[in-house]
Amino acid sequence: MELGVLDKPSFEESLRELAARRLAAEGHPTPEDLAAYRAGELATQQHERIKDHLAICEDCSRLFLDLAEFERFEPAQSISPADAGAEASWQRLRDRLKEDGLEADKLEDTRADEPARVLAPHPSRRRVPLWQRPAIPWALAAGLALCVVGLGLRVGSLGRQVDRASEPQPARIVSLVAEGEGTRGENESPSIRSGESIVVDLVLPMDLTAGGPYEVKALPAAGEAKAWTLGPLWAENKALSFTLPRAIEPGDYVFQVFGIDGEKRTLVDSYRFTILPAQH
Amino acid sequence: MDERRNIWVERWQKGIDREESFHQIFRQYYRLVRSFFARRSRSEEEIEDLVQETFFRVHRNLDHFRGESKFETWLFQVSTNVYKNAVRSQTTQKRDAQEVSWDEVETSSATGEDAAIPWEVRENGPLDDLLQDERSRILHIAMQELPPQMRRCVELRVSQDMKYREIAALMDVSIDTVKAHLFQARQLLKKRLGDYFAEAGFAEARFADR
Repeated sequence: MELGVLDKPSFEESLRELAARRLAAEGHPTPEDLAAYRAGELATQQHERIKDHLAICEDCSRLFLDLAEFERFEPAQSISPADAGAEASWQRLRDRLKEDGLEADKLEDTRADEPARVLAPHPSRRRVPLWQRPAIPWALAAGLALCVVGLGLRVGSLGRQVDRASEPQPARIVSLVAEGEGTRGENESPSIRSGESIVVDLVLPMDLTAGGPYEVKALPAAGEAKAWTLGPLWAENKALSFTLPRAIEPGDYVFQVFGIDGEKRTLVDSYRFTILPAQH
Repeated sequence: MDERRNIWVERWQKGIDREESFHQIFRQYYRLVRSFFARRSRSEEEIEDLVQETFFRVHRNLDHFRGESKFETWLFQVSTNVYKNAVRSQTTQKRDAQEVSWDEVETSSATGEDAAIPWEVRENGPLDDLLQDERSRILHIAMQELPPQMRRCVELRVSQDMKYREIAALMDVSIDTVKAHLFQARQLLKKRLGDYFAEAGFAEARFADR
């Protein structure tokens, strides 16, 4: 007997019910299965099985699209500007890893063993994180900045200011002007020589308008060169002055500038530099 | 250059300035991992907790990552397992049920001690149970008779309510192919199942993609 239209169940509802019951009966592939499936590493039968499963399983098909997003993701080789949320999260994670204490060696602070030749900070500034205190007048920092003890050529200020780090954007490459030599690497990776004293024009975020202290990390962009930490440093008229250690290996680096508050470091900005061998 | 390489992972594994190296790994992938959990969680607090747990496990297990897959693939697996554990934790608080997965036993995995935890809990009986009524059996057979790719298009469209472009992305075919499959499937299913189901071959409205 043929059923009337009103007696017929909905095709779509029936199909959805069928799919739901199939899912409950067969379980789900693991994330490792999904990765192997996407890589085409599974035997035909299992490959087809996962393909069938993805057609009816919303959770797994979403996961599969996420897997594709992860595998397409290309992390920036240069360091992105500061992300306040990420840095706050990092501080929390760092504290947790330290508290965990299971692998303390992994958290060993491996800073530069050769201290950078930098300004000797005023004792009171060492205790108070001025970079967090907008009311501090610039005049207090000005005198300190005159005490630069950098050796060798003093290179002119960077030709272009860097935007506020709080606005996410790709790391900016700024030009570097060397006195007597013209511009080196304008709009490309600016180059400096180890042993040089450089002045970085640092445009501070609106809520970080004081002189310091700051810390500069020189992170190799590739290879196994040693990373260096320079500081504490104090800014004058938004400029940080420091001298590179002579032992720093030539190569491409990303310089990250951090504000210091006790153990806490807040990324202010980052710059890309090429370091050339020192001149003799 | 080997596309699988990640310089910060390599530096960390070689013991070069480990804190800084892990900081860079965290900064590179924070947004990606956060987005993954944001699509699945409701509260900011929960999202942040899951991100923290993911990187905590990455840190604990990074020694075991051998570079046999891309780091991003491994990170996806860790993230997924963290989420599965969170789901399981919430589920077991509500009910006590037997858990199953396709891989009943997975004794070791580089993604951590909880990598083998299955995705969901089983509540219903085997597939045979659902085919005991005639209409379900006929529907099942009719679907199985469709060419596999066509069948999957119908299922994605109906069961998951996916848009054409989403189906195309998931199946790695063109949108036109999806449309053609759905059109043909509708004709076939209508003919085959019209006596048993209303709007057999699914509703015409489904051809008007949103």
